Amino acid sequence: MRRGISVFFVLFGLTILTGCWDHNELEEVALVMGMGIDKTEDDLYKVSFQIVNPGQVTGGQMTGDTGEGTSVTTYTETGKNIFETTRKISTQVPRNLSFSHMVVLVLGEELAREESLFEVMDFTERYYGFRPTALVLLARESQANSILSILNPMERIPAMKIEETSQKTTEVWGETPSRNIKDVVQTLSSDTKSLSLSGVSLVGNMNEGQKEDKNKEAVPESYVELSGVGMFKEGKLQGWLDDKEARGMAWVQDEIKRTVLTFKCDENEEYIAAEVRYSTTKLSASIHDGKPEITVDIRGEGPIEEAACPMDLTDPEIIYQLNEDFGSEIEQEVIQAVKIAQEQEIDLFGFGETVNQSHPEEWKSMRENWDETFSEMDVNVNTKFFIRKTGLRTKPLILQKSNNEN
Amino acid sequence: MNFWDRCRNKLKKLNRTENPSPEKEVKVLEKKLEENLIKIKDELGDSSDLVIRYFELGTESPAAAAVVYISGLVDDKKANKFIEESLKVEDPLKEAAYSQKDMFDIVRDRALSINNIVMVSDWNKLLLTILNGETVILLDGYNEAITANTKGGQTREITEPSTQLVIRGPKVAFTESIGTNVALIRRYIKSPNLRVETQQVGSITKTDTALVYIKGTVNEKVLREVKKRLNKIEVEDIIESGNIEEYIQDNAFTPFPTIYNSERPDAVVGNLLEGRIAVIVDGTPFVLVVPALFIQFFQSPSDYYQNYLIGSFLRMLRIISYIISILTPSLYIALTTFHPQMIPTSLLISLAAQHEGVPFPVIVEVLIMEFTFEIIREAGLRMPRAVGQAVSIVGALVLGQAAVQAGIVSPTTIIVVAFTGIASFATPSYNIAVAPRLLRFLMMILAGGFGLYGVFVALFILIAHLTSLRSFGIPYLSPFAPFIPADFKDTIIRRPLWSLDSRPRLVSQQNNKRQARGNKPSPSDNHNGN
Repeated sequence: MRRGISVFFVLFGLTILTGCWDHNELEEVALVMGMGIDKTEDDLYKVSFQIVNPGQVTGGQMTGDTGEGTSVTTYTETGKNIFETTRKISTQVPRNLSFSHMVVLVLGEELAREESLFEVMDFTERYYGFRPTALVLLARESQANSILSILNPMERIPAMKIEETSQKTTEVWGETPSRNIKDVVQTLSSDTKSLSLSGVSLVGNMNEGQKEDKNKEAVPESYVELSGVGMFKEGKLQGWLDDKEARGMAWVQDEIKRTVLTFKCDENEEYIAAEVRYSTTKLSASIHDGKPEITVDIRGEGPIEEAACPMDLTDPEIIYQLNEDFGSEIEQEVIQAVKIAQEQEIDLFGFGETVNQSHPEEWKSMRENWDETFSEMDVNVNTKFFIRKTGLRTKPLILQKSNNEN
Repeated sequence: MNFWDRCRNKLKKLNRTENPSPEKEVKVLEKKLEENLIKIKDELGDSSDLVIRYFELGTESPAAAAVVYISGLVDDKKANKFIEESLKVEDPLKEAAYSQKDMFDIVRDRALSINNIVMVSDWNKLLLTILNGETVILLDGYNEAITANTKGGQTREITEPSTQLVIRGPKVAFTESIGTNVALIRRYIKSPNLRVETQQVGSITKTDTALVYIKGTVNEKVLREVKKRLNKIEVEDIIESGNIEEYIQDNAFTPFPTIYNSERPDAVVGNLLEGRIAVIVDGTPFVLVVPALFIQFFQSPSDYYQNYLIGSFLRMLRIISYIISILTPSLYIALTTFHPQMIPTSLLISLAAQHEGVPFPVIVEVLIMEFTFEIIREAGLRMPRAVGQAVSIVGALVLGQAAVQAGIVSPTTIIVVAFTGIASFATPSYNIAVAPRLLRFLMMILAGGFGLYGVFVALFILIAHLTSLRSFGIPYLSPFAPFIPADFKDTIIRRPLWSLDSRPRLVSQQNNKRQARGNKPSPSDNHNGN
């Protein structure tokens, strides 16, 4: 009997020791897929929530009315802080907000320039409802609210479209990195590396993009695309890196998974293209005369995918030459990116981290005015590229044609 | 007979069983034939199926004799041909012998051409033998009766099993006749060590039960325990082996069976060879096997008749489907109402879309459908076969389809309930497959109240309960708990036959070795490398 009582108390103790516990029927939950944070003119936060209308998304037969309404609704609320808005939104939304499936957090450019991210990101990490895997993006030259308001034909939920686009382009193009809440918070709390976030911008007319009708057009008039990388200094947006500069940064940070290298191979503006299938970057630091120096070693390999110039790709000499050319192509990109970062005095690449790791003693003295040291330091870039195959053809078509003519 | 009469009768009977002293005094047969016959008629209430046939033996000084039996219980041919014809023989050569020798001895030793003759002088025993389907010969002037085994009458043919079907394997099932069943086992095990011990259980039904085991292989401790428990049963009636099962199981308060049963002789024989004990009960084709382990209920005889890789895969499949049949509805409830973050986004949106407009919370919805499913299942089982089809049509089409279209339940709920139902049919033993039907509801209510936490508390309690179970002293979850790696070879997977070289350790504690080493087939040495 006494044993029974003690077992009961142990079990009872278990019931009150559990963590988060909440019961919510599916129809009482509003799934927030994307959240946008902007700043109003009176210095308040304007937070937008992109909420799914489940009945409009799925294609099943038995889901009541389908296809007539919009798949998502974006609600907006203002408040002195972000948490306040998530509760104040109940004046508009009849359900409990659930953030556990949120895939993107979009920050308005104005907010990012004026307000420090330290203030904004606290909530996203503190509040239990968020997933640290949600992507963080910058609304470039627009408000986060408008980015979240654009509907999209291919993926019914715009937030998921943005997220999937970002993941995909990071994987095959490499200019814009995908950073999630966890990465952002980690970078923000490190003092040796500055934050960089991909931008997402609105193309076309915003009002047009909000209508479901526009999904019936084959060529959408307004859409959302990823563009550029925003550079942060002390949590505030300083400027943008675009195209090759952005990719240069990705090369240094070893974030390139796959990408395409294009190289002009003759005077007639003809190009030859290789895909990078594999690449690694190694950073190393050395100190000369008390000044730090960084060496960036990049090694990439991949096949030739398109050749528009008359080159005999069966000739090893030409392949060696192409290896060199592609390598210097990478080098150019990296040098450009480093130059811009040094001009802005923003250590996007974590060079400080590298120095700290290899020369911890010297780092202590450099730490104080690292930004200055960074902007003046020498950066050596060594790149190597290896062409591994030439695709299903050997000689370019154009070369064969000129051969036939001879 | 109204209710009160029945109660009174029952009380009387109870009193009778409480004071068995009057039954103990042995009544002996009378010497006079007439008196005996009147008494028999009297005792059996002059039933219409009681046959008494008079005749005279011998021609010179004819002695009165009578044959008594109950028609329907005896094999008519046997009764007629052997007894009556033998008695009627009027051989002049024998005539002389008749006059010299005692008539009784002549009948017993010479005239009867039937086997299995027993002399009975005890009155109670005599009645029992008559009721047991034997034929009794009474002679005037002797207070002893000759009983001959003429048991017979209508019994069912040996047919294919209707439970535990297999694709490959013997297509023989036990019948209701205990003699046939014992013979079926003997046909498989031609060993003098196979022992059959018969006893009768039930003060009214006097049901024959046979304890079958292989001497030298059986666990003697378990055997003693089984005998003890069988002897302890003091009831009026045993109609099916299920009755015996309920009286001899270790733990009465559990949905899990601790005694295995089968109507397949090959399954029972396999178990006997592992050192288990079979209890055959007359009147039912279901033979009990003890001790039973949890994992045993997932073994199908066909596992041993087909490729061991396939057999192992199927066995794992059964165990997984058993887990599914316990957990799926409760996991569905817990995930959708408590932990939507654990469901992939697009699936969750789809679930939410289906649930839009459904008036009930998920827990109510699932409970309704599970309950409906149980009703359909039970109705389909009990209905006459012709109506059964109608039930399944109404159940499947009308209830399933219409409930979704009417917006009362969501399609996913139907899928979950149907999947659970089908998974529960994948278990080869019916009596362990019914346990989840009960447990499911408990789990669902806990899941509805506490989410995954409730599910895991329920699982925890379930596993603790299973671990506490014993079957005739053998831990139910062995070889997992206690952990006996050597016995793993025939549990979740079935290893090839040549590596099943020892019996389960706890089940059979002596004579553990089953086969010689080196039974693994390999190309003959002659071809090796030459």
